[in-house]
Amino acid sequence: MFMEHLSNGIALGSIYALTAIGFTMVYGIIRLINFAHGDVYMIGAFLTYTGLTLFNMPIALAFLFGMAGASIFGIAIAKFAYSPVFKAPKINLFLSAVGMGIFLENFAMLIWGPETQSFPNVINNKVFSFLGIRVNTIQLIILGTTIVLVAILTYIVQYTRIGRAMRCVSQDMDVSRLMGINTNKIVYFTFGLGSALGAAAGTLVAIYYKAAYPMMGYVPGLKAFIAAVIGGIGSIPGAMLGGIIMGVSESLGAGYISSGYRDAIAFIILIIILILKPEGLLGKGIKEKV
Amino acid sequence: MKKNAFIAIMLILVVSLSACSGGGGGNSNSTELYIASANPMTGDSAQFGDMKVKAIELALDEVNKAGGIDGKQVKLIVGDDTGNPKEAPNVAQKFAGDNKVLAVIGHWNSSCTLAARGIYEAAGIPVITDSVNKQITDGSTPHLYRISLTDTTQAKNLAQYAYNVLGKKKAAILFTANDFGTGLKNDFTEEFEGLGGKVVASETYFEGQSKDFSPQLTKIKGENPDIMFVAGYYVETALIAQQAGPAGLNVPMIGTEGISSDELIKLGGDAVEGIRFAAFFHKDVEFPGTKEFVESFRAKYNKEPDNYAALAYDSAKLILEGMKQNGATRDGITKYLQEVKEFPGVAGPISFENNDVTRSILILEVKDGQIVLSEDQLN
Repeated sequence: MFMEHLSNGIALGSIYALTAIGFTMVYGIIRLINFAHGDVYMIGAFLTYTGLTLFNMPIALAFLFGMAGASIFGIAIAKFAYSPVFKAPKINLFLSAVGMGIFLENFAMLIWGPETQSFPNVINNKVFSFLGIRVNTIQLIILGTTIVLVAILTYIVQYTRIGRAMRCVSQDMDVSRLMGINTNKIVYFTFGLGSALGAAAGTLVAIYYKAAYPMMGYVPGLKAFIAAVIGGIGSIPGAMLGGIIMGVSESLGAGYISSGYRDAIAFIILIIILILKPEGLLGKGIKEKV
Repeated sequence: MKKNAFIAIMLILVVSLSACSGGGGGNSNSTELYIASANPMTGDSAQFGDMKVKAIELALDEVNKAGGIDGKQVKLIVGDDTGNPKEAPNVAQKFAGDNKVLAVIGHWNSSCTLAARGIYEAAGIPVITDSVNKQITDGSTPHLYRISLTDTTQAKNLAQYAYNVLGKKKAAILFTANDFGTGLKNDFTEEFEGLGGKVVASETYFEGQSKDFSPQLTKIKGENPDIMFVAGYYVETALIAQQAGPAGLNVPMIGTEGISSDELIKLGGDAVEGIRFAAFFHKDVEFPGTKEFVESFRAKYNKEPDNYAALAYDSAKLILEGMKQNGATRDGITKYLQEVKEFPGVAGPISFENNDVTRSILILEVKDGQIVLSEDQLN
C-alpha cells in the first residue's frame, strides 16, 4: 500500500517538477513570478490535443508540436505582455502576468470550448507489479520523459554558450549587457524553454487523466510556484526536489490522512518551509541561478 | 488624448446603461408570454443545460404551433448560472425582477437552487426544479416544486439495489465535496449499513478540481470493497472509472442520475462499461406520449433525449397546462401545481406531495457504449 502511494506520488511529483522548472527559470532570469505559467501548461496540452485530433499526428510528433507551439506562445507573451513593462516597477510585471493568465484561460474557452475535452487514448496502459510496487505504463512514461527533458535542460544550461549566457544574465542583467550579451535574446529563449517544459507537463497530465480543460492550469500553476519556493526559487535542482516532495506528500497525505485535505497539504508544507528555511531547501541567497 | 478616451468610455457606458433600462418593464397587453429557465449553459455541466433548453423549446413549439395560450405565443428566456452557486442568485434576481417571467424551470445544480430559491420565493414565482438535494423542499419555499426524486430517495434505492439485487456486502463511496455528494454519502451509508452491509471506505474529492484519484482509489482498494458508489457527476465519474483499472480496483460501480449523459461514455470510453445508475426516464420505458416525445426530439435535434430533457419537457408541459387552466399569471400556475394529480408526463405520471414528485426509480446501465435499461431492476 505504501509503495503504491509512493509511486503515485512520484508520477505526480515529476509533473510538478517539470512545471516548476519552467517557472523557476523565468524567475531566475527576470525575477518575475510568472502566474501565466500554469496557463501555458494548459495551452500546451490543448495544442497536443489539436495535433492528435485535428491533424491526426502520431503521439510523439503531437507532443513536440505541443511543446513547440507553447514555446511560441511563451515567447509571444514575453514580447507583448512583459517586455513593454519590463522597466516598470515589479508590481506592473506581476499584474501583467495575472492578466495574461486570465486572457489565456478565456482564449482557450473560445477556441476549444469550456467543457472538459476527452483526450484520445494514445497509450496502451499496462500495469506492472514487482516487489509489491504497482506502476503503470503512463507513470513510467511520465518519469522517463521528465528525466530526459531535465537531462537536456541541464546540458543546455551547463555546457552550451547560450546556457552560460543564461547563467550570467541571472546573476546580473545589466552587467551581462555591458559584457556584450544580447539579454533580450536570453529572456525570450528562457521563456521559450520554460514554456516548452510547461507544455510537456500539461500534455503528460492530459494523457494521464485523459482530459484537457481550460482551467486545468490554474491549480498546477500555484503548485509549481509552491514547489519552486520549497526548493529555493530560481534553482533548477530545487524545483525538481520541491516538485517531488509535493507530489509524494500529497499522495501520502490523501492516502493516510484524508483525501479532502490533499491541496491543503501543499500549502502546509510551504508554510513550514517558509518558517524553517525561508530561502527554500536548495536556495542559497545570492549564488548563481538559472 | 487620454482624457478623450476616458470621456468616450463614459459616454458608451451611459448610453448602454440607459438602453438597458429602456428595454425592461413588463407589458400586460403584449402578445407574448414568457417563462424562464436557469441552467448551467457553460462549464462542465453545460451538457445538461443544453438538453433541458432543447426540450423546453420543443414543448413551447408544440403549444405555439397549436395557437399558443389564449392566442398568445409562449417564449423562453434562458439564464446561465454556470453551475456556480455564486452566479445563481444573480440569474434569479434578474428573473424575479422581470414581471414578464411567469414561471422558472431550474436550476440544475442543487447548490444553485439552494442559493436562488429565496429570491424566487420572495417574488412569488412558481419554480419547477430537477435538483435532488432534499433540503430544497424543506417546506420553507412553497412556490418551489421538484420534478425529480431527492438524493435521499436515490441513495436509499441504490443501497437496496446494491445489497438486495446485486448481493454486495462491502461498499466503498467516492463522493464529491458539495451538498449533493455529502447528502448521498450519508443516506447511502445509513441505508446500506441498516440492511446489514458495511461501508468500508468513504473518500472525497472536489468537483472540477480533482483529476488525480489515484490516492483515493489506492486507499479504497486496500479495504477490499465489492462495489463502489460514486456520488458525483459524469466528468469525474469517467476519470474515476479510467483510473480504477490501473490502480488495481476492479469492482462494479454504481451512481446517481448525475452521470446520466452520453458525455460519460464519450469521456470514459471502455472504462465506464457496466456502470449502473439511477434514472427517472429511459426511452424504452413508455408512458403515454413518451414515444412521440422521443421521436419529435430526435427529428428536431438529431439527438436522443436524456433524463433531464424528459423532466424539463414535463416541467414545461405542467406550466403550460397551468396557464391554460388558471390563466397566465404566477399565482395561477402555482395553484395548478398545488392541485395537479396524475399529470400524464413522458417520464411517468406526476403528482406533487409536499412539493416533491411521486415517481419510481429506474436502473440504467452502460452496455456496448450505449445507455440501456438494466436487466436487473429494483422490484
